Amino acid sequence: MTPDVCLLLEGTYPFVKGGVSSWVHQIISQLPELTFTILHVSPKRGYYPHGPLYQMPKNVVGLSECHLHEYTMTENKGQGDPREKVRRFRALVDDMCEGRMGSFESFIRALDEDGGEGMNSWDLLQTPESWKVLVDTYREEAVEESFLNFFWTWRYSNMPLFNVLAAQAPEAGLYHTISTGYAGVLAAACKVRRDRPMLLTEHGIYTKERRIEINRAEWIEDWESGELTAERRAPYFKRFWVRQFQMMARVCYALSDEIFTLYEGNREFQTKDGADSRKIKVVPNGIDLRRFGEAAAVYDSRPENDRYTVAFVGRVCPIKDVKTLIYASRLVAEQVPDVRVRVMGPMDEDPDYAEECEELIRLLDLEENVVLEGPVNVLEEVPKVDIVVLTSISEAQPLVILEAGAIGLPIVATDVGSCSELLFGRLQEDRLLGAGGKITPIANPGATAEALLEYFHDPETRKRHGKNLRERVNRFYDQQDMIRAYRDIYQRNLGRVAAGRR
Amino acid sequence: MSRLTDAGRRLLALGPRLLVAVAPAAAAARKALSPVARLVRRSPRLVAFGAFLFGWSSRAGAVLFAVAGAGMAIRSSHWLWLPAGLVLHVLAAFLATAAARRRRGAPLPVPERNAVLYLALFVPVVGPSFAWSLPRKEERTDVQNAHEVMLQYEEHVKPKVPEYERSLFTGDFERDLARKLDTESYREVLRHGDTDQKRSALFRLAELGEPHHLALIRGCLEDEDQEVRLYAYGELDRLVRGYEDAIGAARHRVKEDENDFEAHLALAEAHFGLAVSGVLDSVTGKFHLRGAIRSGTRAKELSTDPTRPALLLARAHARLSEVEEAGAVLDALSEAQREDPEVCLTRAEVAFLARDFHRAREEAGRLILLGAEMPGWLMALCVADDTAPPEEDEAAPAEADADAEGTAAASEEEAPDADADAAPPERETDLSATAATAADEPDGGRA
Repeated sequence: MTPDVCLLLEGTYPFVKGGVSSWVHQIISQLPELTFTILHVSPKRGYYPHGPLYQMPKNVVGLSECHLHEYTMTENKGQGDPREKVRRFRALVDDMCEGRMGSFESFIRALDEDGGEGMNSWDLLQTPESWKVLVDTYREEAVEESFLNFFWTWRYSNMPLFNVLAAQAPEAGLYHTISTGYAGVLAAACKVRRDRPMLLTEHGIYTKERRIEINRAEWIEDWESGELTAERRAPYFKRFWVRQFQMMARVCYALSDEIFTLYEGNREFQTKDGADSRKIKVVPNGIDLRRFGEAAAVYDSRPENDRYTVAFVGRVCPIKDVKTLIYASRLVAEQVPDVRVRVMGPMDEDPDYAEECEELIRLLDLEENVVLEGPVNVLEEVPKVDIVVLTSISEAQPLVILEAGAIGLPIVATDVGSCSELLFGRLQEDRLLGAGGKITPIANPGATAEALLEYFHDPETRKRHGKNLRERVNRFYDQQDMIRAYRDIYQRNLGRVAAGRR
Repeated sequence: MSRLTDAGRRLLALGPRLLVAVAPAAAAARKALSPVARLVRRSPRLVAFGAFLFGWSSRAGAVLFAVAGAGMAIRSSHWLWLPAGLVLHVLAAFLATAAARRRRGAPLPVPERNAVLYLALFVPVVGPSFAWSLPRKEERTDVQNAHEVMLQYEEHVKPKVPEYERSLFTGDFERDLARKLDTESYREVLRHGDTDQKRSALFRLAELGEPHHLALIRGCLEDEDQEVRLYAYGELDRLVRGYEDAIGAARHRVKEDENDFEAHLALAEAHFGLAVSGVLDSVTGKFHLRGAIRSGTRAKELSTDPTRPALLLARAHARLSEVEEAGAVLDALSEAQREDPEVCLTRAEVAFLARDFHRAREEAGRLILLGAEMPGWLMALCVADDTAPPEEDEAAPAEADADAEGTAAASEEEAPDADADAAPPERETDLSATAATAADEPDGGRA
């Protein structure tokens, strides 16, 4: 039986725990009438030795992987001009970089031809013709750069791309990718091969995240250091990689039938990267209000805490910037000596960072105030606190804000991702509900401490903000709304397929 | 020995006696010829010309000329001089012979007379001209030392600025000026550039790494572009990690040996270095100053010579506006220790941060007497105009107090005035101006 939806995922569900994985699990679990198959893009075979971390629901009927860095070097016995094949691949990449999609479809079809013009990784890497194309490209584009670096960059950028283009995905009613990048290109190839709808949902913006990573990367050689100029152009190899990911995003945006994102701020990024704004719709995350409603009742009925208690809910890792929270706690403790800061979340993602946090707590004499508790049951523990704080340097739409908001707690959060939208409202009627917390700059313990102290000195505002946020979450971030939206989306697109068959 | 002839044996026996006999003569000849050698060294061309003229009429001149040629060849170590000397010797010999023949009384035949006449006219010109035209080693050396020539020229033509004469000051003025110019350009990029330009500027500023550069990076933590904020955070985080690694290593050493003075001092210095690096905001910097004071105090207790920890403690206290504590630490040093240039400089720094400029100048004077180098900020203070209008001093504390953090907006807005006037940083309970005006602060110059 052909599954209804093929979910194309990269570095996430079911092998990695996190917000995106939780979202995917929600979607699958809450749509039992649909069948899903998962195609996961992994770096290489055995990359996730522990296997799936989620108990996949019964309506997941398949799980397969596409490995980016596995090459089968079998000589291509087919006919066709080898050099022409390589040239065609390079021309395809160049076209996609420029936003021209014309050659994409024909290339995908050409890949599938038996014999004849069919192409494999041997053609791309091992033939004299491929060498010639590589050298010609080097001479045209990068003659001032190290050839050795160019060679390996060429290899490690083109091979994974070729692998996803050539991968045979399972048949399905439609293809839904949760990011651009390699999974997005794979979804686009599937659309062309199978002539099925393609959907894209972006949580974080893949291209932006890769661009930031690449621009900050120290492993990509930068020969321009020493020049005291503010260049618009990054060094060649960084530009090369950024262009590669931008190209993949353009392909994905161009071939997606519908594009979804979690919050308005993302729409601008997607449009800047080449998405048609008419295709983009905002479908926010949602949480199970019923479960959190019970937790809200516990929060409402509990007595006031004898100690002012602040909670951080999240992984203890650099992107969450727990150290800023610890410094802020020191400042708060100077005015509120018995303040309690509970850091709830796993510490195994970056043990060195967790150790540094422990050292910092000791340095600042906060052993009586700040505790790294490890993973907890959020529904049980979060209602016991007074405020939830988030000091992340990067987020999309953090579930912790929705969960804490559903309980009725105000939030102090950094101005990243959709935090501002969640705390102050997205739509007009949403904004009328009022503030649900306070926003602070990133890496600013003084501002975070100031916000926490304001809530300490003004419990009325704290309660009011908590109520506002609860109202907002109940009205606009119900998981059922999200599930309903995706049910409609899937059925609409599957219906088109069925209608097309008739 | 049996193979030697009788003559050989006699010569061999005579050898030492000959040497003994010749040595004084050789020494005398050398002494006699040394003025000639000096003359040849100084103006070999003049000597060649003179010798040639003399050689024209004298046999002795030919010999002299050959000697001069050989001398020049040896002096300049250029092989061309030898054949030149040889040629001129031959010509001189020819002319001497001709002159000798004339003296014998017999008239010269006409062709021979004409030849002598022509030679007499041209050889004095040709010979020395030829010798003159040969390249000298010194000229080639001059070309290679063009850089030195340029420096000499610069020294000759550029005007002297009395306040910054090198005899007294170390010339930080030019560095300060360059620093202001380059900071201003980056400031413009961070205000008006696009994402990529800002990213590049942030990267360059992190490479430059001075506290006032890092203050500009801190300002970008509140940029409207989220990507720029992340780049700014990334650059600062990278720098902080370097310091944190040093702190971690020092703490490890302290854990291994609680009574290790050097370990405690290293930990204090690591905390202090991070606090004043400009990487941290004013709030978190304060915590590391406290850490520096804790470790520095322990180091002082453990050491036999408390000067180093005392200086660090004084600087840390001064930065926390704990002037009395800073003064007490320095006063506890002995008289002999107080004459140490480092101690004088620290006293100047503490006075500067406490806005006691008179005291700071006194310490600067002491530094001059000790012959020690002065940092730029202290030099600027020494030449600053003391008659600045009072409203500038009154306004400065108010500006600083208006923004307790002062890292983002204030660091951008205050820094130009602070830099331009070389005004001292505000004395504040927090360190909001520390990163912004670090160019004028002791550590900006001390590094």
